[in-house]
Amino acid sequence: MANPRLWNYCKIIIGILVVLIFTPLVTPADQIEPTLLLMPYSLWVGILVSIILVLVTYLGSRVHPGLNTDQKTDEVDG
Amino acid sequence: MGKTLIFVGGVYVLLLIIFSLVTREKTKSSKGYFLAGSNLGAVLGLFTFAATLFSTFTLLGMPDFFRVHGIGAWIFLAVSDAVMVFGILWIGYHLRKRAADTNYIGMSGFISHAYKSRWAGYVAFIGAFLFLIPYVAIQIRGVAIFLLQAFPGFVPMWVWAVGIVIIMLVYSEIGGLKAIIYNDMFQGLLLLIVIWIVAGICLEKMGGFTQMFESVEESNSALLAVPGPKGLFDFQFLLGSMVAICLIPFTQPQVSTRLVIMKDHRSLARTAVGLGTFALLVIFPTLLIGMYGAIYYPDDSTSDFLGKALIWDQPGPLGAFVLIGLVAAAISTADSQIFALGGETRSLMEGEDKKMIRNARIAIVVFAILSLIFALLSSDQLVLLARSSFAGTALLAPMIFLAIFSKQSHNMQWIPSCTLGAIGILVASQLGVIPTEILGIRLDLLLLVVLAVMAVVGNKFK
Repeated sequence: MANPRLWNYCKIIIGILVVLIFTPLVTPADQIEPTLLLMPYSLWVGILVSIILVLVTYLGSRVHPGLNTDQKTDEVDG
Repeated sequence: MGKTLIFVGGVYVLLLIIFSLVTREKTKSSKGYFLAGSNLGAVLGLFTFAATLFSTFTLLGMPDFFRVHGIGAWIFLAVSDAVMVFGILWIGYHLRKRAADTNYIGMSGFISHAYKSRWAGYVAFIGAFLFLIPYVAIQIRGVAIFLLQAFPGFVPMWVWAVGIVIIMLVYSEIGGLKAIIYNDMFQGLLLLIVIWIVAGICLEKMGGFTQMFESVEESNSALLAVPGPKGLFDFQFLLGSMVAICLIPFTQPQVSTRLVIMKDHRSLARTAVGLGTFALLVIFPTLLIGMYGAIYYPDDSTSDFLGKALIWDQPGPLGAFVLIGLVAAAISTADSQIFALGGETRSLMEGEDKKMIRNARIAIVVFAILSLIFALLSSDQLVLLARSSFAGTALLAPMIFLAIFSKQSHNMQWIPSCTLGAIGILVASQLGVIPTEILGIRLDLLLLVVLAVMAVVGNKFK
């Protein structure tokens, strides 16, 4: 279901996440703590950010305004 | 392992040939041969994108990168890839819309059409050629070195390299892009299965997930934080890498072609989500293998570590699957790149279609030979060489984005010339003729920013 407003929100969320990646919130220098399952901080936060990015891409894929603009009938696979 | 290897290798080559022969009949026009009929669904799309993007550099380079530089490698590649897939969804839509207005065969032809200038098309081709040939070369070299390590004294490295190039050429020349895409599906699955099995065994030997991090902290705690023990993952490296990686789908023709040939935007959107998931699933096990190396082989050379971790420490038959998985990873990326250069050549040519296809096929053989020569001469720094390739093709982005987003790009004929100048400067810096940093800023990043500003300002005041 195309929804330009939600699509714009997706772009904003991605923009904010990208900025955060380069701040000490995600990549603090020489910091291991706090750990999660003994995973060092930048790793587990990095994994979390990656998953959120993919989830936002999923949401974006459902609401992108151009979803129904170029459909064809025959295809190579489903 | 020898008998298993011969059996698995035989099945692998047989499947490649069968896929190529099955798809052969349908690929007689340029659109069929170079664009697989431009009708790709989401599932095939996912695997062909994945197999094209995740290569030797992922399977061999990333474990070594984690081992030497630590967990920042996750930010370098996995986070960047997750941002990239959103870019595929966003910018890919606009590229497809513009490509639909032209008879798209390759990015060079598209650029030539948008700028109404053959010169612009040549610049796009030169950029792709200069930076893709080394990228193809490192795929071939990476696996050839690995095979040399696995079978010391059996045959020299160049024989392995020639063998890889021949396999790649045979099936892509026979079946065209459709054969490559079907083979990508098979090879992408193989890559994912192999790397998870290897990582699982490494994890078991390390005593589990939490024990792994305890052991790494004892041996070298700097690996558990950015910028890593050698200080590689600083702000500029991570930012420059993310920008370059996010631009790959639009600046590297083997990927941009796949964007354009998707059946519709819905399929592309599904592919983007699947690709993001695939990226995380394929990079995570390389972290485990890398940490394994950091614990058991911290001071070994790259090839020694990879040989031990991926082959000799694995149960006998699995080593054979790893070898074939590696060959598949290398071939599935390298064939797409070489083939894309053929498509780029075709997109710049005008004339009778059959004759042009024949000329482009000859060009593919020439590109493969050049890559082979480069493979035999290049260094072993797989990830850093790959990154140089990303950074090099990224310089084409402002020119390409202008072609996508501005209908007045033909009024800015100077942009292609400036792009070529920037490529020349970057090549000079890589050859050591000029510094790689200016006032503490990485030259690749600086050049990209300058070109982007010129394109934006030029577009505004044209």
